Amino acid sequence: MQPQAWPMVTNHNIWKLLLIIGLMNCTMELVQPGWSNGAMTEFEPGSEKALSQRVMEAELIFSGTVEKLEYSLSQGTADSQGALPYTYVTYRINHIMKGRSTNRDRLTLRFLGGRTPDGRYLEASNMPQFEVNDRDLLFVVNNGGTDCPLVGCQSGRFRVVKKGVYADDGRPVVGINKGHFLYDNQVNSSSAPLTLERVKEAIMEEVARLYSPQELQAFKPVQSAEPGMPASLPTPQDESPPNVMTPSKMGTDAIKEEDRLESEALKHNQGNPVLKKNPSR
Amino acid sequence: MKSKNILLLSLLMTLMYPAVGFSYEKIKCAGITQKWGSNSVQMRASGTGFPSGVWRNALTESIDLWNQNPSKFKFTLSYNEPGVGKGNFQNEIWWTSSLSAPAVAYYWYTCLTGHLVEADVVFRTTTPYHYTHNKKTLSGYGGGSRSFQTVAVHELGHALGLKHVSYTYNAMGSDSTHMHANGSTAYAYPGEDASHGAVALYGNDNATNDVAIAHWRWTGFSGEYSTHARTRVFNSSGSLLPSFTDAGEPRYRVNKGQQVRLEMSYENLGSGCKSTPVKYYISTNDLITTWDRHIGTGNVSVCRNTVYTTSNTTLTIPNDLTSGANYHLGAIIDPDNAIAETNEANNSSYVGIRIN
Repeated sequence: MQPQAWPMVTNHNIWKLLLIIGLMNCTMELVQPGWSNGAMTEFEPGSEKALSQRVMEAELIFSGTVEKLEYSLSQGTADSQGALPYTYVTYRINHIMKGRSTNRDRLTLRFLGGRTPDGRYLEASNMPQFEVNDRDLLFVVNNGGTDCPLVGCQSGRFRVVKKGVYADDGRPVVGINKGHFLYDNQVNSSSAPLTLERVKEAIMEEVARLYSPQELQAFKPVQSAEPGMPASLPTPQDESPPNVMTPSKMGTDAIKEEDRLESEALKHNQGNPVLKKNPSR
Repeated sequence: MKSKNILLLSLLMTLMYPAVGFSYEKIKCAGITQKWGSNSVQMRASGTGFPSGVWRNALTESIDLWNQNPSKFKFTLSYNEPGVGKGNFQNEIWWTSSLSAPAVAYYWYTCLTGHLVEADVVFRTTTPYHYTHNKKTLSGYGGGSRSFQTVAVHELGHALGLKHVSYTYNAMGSDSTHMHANGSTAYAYPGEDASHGAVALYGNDNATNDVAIAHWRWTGFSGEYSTHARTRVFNSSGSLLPSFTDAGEPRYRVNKGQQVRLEMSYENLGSGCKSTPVKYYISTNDLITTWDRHIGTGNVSVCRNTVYTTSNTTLTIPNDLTSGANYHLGAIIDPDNAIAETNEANNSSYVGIRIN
């Protein structure tokens, strides 16, 4: 199926337009993380990384403000994967908690998703969504080398609204307990979030605990992504499925004869639990 | 810009809890729903990732599960796709180790003309997937494996045009705890809300009848995803009975002769509303059939909108059960086979109890 043609409008304006129309239509599209990546599949609640793990995985941790959004195709590859649309998000860096950036004031991060020149849009099921002037706290890793350059993707971005810190999806960060961020997951949450200063303090404490000043200075600076750079993965890596143990080798519990008969009867009845009368009764 | 951020977050919180009878989220762009231009969409399974065998069978099963939904939409599935990739106008399914999540759906749309034009589904090889229906192997039942089929159903939901859902029991939320189980087996399924979403997108086939029972319920949300927990057992005044975890599943402590209420989630996965009896049983095993001991009858009315999680019938635990022994309270919806259903195998489920 060919995509419909799209009138040429500048990327910046079309996204502004989409934002306005989206808000008018009160859809969740523009307020939910948009370029999402796969499914509780993409992200499993309760499985979020500990703060220490996030700190160790991140090459750069900083707070900053989105200054510019650009949309650009990657270079295509020789195989069946063509050029892919990416969103380039440029931050004005306010405070670095770990690592260095090649440009001390600015950093451009690249995320999969966006518009192609022929008018198609690509959305992946776990990417965060950005707007100019968003204030964020980010755990950056492998910028330009992956589809989403944040530790845990969505969970590597925190939003700052007023002085409070929220998860990318809007849940307030209400505490840090045993090295894990705590969120208010309740419907109709009214919990007050931790302040940005408090969260930064916790991160810096963790950084200081894990690294010496010399180690921190030795980190390689993170480079900005440049529009038009190659796709993050050179090929889609079409691989063989995993090898798993077959169910018959997993062992089964001993089963009573009456249970076996009931199970057999159910199977015979195509799973319908309304069975004919039990012949043994 | 502070006020804009506050507005956005307020809007987010408001929109997360709509006062409507459904929860499905359609893929939208600029307020325009994005859907396929046809009611039949071909998915192509990689020849490398899904050769003849168990994984192909599991993928085929997942496609078939969606094709039992009451909308006019159907997937077709072809095998042995030689080359796969994003942005090639073909809907492909493959495995890779290079993925930042257990699975990802990549969907392409035209926005203002409202058409989905490509949807690819990719699974991560390093996730501990299993294709088995043996519930003890699966993470929702205390096992160590992720059900491939629940994830596939979730991702295929994206491919159909649905987004994540956080505010009802839903396959588009936490999929590993969205299963139908009876006895030793557990099966994935799209569920009521996602089926409702498919009907909203592609129309009602007006031919599918399917009612179901699940022992999972909605508990809240984590980000975009609904969270689920097992259904419960209450006393007659509605207080939760004490429980403990037994082999990865909850088990409630009850007294002989005690009046209890069994909570279950009742679903309508078909085309139209149904009102049907529900019979309750006590069983010595976790397989609930009409061979078990009947202890009560109730009634539910289920339309295809919000999953009906209720404990609306009072039951009496028989006095002649053995103290210290394990039993299961079970329920069978449509216990007289009055409804000709596309799937009769999802009509019963259980909750474990121990007699004090």
